Amino acid sequence: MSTRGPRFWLLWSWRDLRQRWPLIIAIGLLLAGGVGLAAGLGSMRDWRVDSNDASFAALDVHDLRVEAEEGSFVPTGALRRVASRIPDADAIEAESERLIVPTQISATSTEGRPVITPGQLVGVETGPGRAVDGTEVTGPPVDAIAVEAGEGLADTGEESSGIIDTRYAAANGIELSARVEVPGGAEVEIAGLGSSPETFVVEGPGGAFSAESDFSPLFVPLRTAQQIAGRPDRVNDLALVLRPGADRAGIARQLEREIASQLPGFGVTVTETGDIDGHRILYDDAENDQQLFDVFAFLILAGATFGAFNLISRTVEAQRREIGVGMALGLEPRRLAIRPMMMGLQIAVVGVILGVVVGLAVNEWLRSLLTDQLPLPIVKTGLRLDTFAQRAAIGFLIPLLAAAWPVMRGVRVTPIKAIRAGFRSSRGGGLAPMLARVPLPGDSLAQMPARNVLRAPRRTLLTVLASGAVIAVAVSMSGMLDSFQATIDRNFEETLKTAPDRLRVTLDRYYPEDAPEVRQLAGNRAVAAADRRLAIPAKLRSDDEEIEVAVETLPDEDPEWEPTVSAGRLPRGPDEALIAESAASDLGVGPGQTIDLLHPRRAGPGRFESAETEVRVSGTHPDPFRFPVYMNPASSSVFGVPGQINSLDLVPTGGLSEEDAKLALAGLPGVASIEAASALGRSLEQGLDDFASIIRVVVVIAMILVLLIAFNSTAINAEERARENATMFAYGVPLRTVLRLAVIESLIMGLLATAIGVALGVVILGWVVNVNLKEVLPELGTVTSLSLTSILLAAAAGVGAMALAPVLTVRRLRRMDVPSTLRVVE
Amino acid sequence: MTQEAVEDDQTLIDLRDAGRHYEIGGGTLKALDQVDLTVRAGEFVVILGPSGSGKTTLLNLIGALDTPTEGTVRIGGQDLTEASRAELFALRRHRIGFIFQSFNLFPGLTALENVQFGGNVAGRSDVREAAIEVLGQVGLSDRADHFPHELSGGEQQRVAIARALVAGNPVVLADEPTGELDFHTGVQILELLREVTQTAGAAVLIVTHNRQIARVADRIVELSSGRIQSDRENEPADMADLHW
Repeated sequence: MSTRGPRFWLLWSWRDLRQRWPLIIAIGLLLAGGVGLAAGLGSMRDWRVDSNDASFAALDVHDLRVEAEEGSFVPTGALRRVASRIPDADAIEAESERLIVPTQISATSTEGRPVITPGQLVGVETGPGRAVDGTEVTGPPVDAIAVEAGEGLADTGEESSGIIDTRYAAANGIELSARVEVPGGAEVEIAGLGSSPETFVVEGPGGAFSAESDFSPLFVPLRTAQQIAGRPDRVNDLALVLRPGADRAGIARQLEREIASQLPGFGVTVTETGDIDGHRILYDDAENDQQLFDVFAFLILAGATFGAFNLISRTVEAQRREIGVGMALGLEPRRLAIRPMMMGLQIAVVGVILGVVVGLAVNEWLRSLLTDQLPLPIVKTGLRLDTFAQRAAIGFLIPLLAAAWPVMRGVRVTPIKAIRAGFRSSRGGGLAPMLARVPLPGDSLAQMPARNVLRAPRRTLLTVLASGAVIAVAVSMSGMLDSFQATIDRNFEETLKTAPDRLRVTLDRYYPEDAPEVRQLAGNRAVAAADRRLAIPAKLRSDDEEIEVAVETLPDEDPEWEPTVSAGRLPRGPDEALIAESAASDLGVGPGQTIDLLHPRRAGPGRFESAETEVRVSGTHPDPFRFPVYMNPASSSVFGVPGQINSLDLVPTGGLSEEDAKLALAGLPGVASIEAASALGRSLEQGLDDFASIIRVVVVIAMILVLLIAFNSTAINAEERARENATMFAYGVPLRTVLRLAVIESLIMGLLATAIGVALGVVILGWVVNVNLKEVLPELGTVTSLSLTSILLAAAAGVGAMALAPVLTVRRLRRMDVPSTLRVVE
Repeated sequence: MTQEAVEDDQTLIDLRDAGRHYEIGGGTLKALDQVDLTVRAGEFVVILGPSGSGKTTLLNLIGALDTPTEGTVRIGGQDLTEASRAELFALRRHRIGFIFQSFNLFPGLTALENVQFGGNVAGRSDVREAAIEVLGQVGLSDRADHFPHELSGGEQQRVAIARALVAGNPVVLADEPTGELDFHTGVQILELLREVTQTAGAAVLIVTHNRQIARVADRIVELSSGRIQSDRENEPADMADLHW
């Protein structure tokens, strides 16, 4: 058989494969893990954007929304008429008037548990049911409702029926046909479960958090809503879809002008699609999460790449002597390269084949996660061939490059050097000569592990970087969970400190502090103490920065709860405000400085207008949520409601459970909704649980990669060190000592990898919290935290896997044919 | 001493009807067959034979690197066929010093550290001093801090010899110890090995195909096709008379 023919090389390569198949499969698996996970994570943004686009389009999300100030209403048809009179009225394709008021939903779960949560009564025009993109759609032509179970909306004029949010129903055990009660004693039968564009993401107060278990819209026909809310023939909202290419900003200005002219004193805010919190969050999340996933995918892929590169290089290095023999026999370098390159090719093929399998599995897992967790009626998760092909190409090229590198190095030296015994293992450029002379304690046997680590710095670095990169992923992802938990803990600590069981009762309108309804609530048997408060949604503005906040007044004397002051002092006058540390940081202000407060101000009965007031920052509080702003009760005059309140913080009588207290208070005159002070933290905790499932799987995959790198590295070490081990055996060094030396060497590498992994993980965590999360969750001042448990887990995985990996070679060491290893291992 | 000699308290190596057979391709390859050999303390024995005669197999059996498939091998009175794995390791640590044909130095250790390794394993307390001394004896005092790849083949071989000698074990086994050395250095090494037999009373067994080297031995054992062809006493030649 000629050495010039491909058959010869294929046969030789086949023999190599038969000899090394476990290693080739293991390296292939390492690459497959990196490529597969990177491909899966790389598809997330496209999947999410496609799903967002399809869902918003299917439900005809509004381009513009005219939203009345709280408490302001106009007769049905008034807003539609105003819209028809603007100069560019032709650009309006569809519109829908609505009545949207806060409410409380009282129901009984299937297990008989009372459910009392705040909600929003949304009265909409009913429309014909239709199917869009495979989804059943009901309701108005703008901001329609996707029906996920049950029936659509129908204004029969008979019994009231409505639709509630699917996730809210699932979280609270409310089934179809259940009856919910709203303030005023009205009952609505749940005819359907679904969602609409504005409630894809359900917010808590002041920002965007997954509060779907604690809050739900209740969609009912407009007439029903008007009856229930006691606002017959009134609306306070108009949603519009514009024709393609229409000037949204221009039409928004025209609407504002027309409303000011036609409906004087009726304060409105005109917003665009991008102002829908859910819209912003879903698209921003897709983008920002992808940044995060890209970093993790890069690190995972980098870890797998370093690992594979190192292992393949070392495997090819082992053929260096044979390359030297080939050179000595006069074989040209290009033909010398065939055999090692064939091995690289084998690994590449195995890596890509396994990568496809792993990638499809990861895709399937992420797909099911997205389907479960994306709050959208339509989820598009088709296989992204382009993303997959890109990652697969990387996975294919790595082994070829890794094989080519040592071959190039090998053919550069003279044949005699390549053949020389011990050449490949002992020689080292760069730092090797310097590091080899680092003085070490202990006798020669004790020094051996450290010497082995130091004698090949490049190899050590690649192994350590490979493991370090994937450990960094695990550390940073675990750190994210720790940080969220620390943030929630800080929120609980701050909001629950002196009155952990207190309930927040939102009143259905403004009441004088000593109104009978307020006195009845405060004096209820279920109530031990009450704080009277005014709660107003507002915005803080400083230079170019504007943030949403929830202003709350603090009782003057002896409150049951008041915020901790981390800097400055509590507000004393009507124009002072205590703001969150994160708000102060984002707005660039501190105690003593002034800032603009944009807020509603009552202009007359049932009418509010937008106003702007300069307030002085009296101090800051440490609640990680950015939205709470506390002011003095005297500030009620700033909002045009002097001496009035619209909420109470109630401390239940001792021994009374939260649910019993809610039951006792629900239905009392003036009550719009009741929720626990801990509700926000709890909903965030729930959201964290969902997020944690993604993180935990990625952490598990990262740990599997660390194990693979450790075991592969050890397997190659055992092969490289066969001659040295045989020599030690010949000198009577017991197996356990040889094993101990290998474990110590691996332990050193594991420690280095863990140190690098933890350090890199902390850097990534810092970036995630301080840069990425600031964009994704600006409302939350996430506290950077990395728990000892996370570090210990990373160390256990990094150090433990690396240190224990040599133990797997015990069988090979025990079975070693010492005489032949000593003679022929070269 | 001949193979008929009776084992006494000076006997360090004792092979009785020892053989090492391999089952290959349905047949039996007798690498070593029916070997009787006794070596006493202070003897300098050279095993001569062409390639494939079983020299290295014999050395491996004596060095407790391999076990016989036939007969017995006793080192210092201990029967290797009966010894446990741990006893074999202990035997190699405390009774045998190995010099390999291909050196087998640890690339991560300097020359001095490689020599120290031999002493450490044997449990010597004055390892550093002893290693420096032996390294001086093989003429490598000035190369103590060099790593193996910084040494020539001959220098590496001398480090390997020093590593075997530093343990002070009673049996020193050498596989072609002068194969990589120039004549002058080779003679130096042979003198050193002979000195070990005289001063420390060690038994030195050298495997070689070089008849010139055999001239310095007290005994010459010739192997052929796995069997001892001759085992004769020899009047050691003066080192100055050697040439190869």
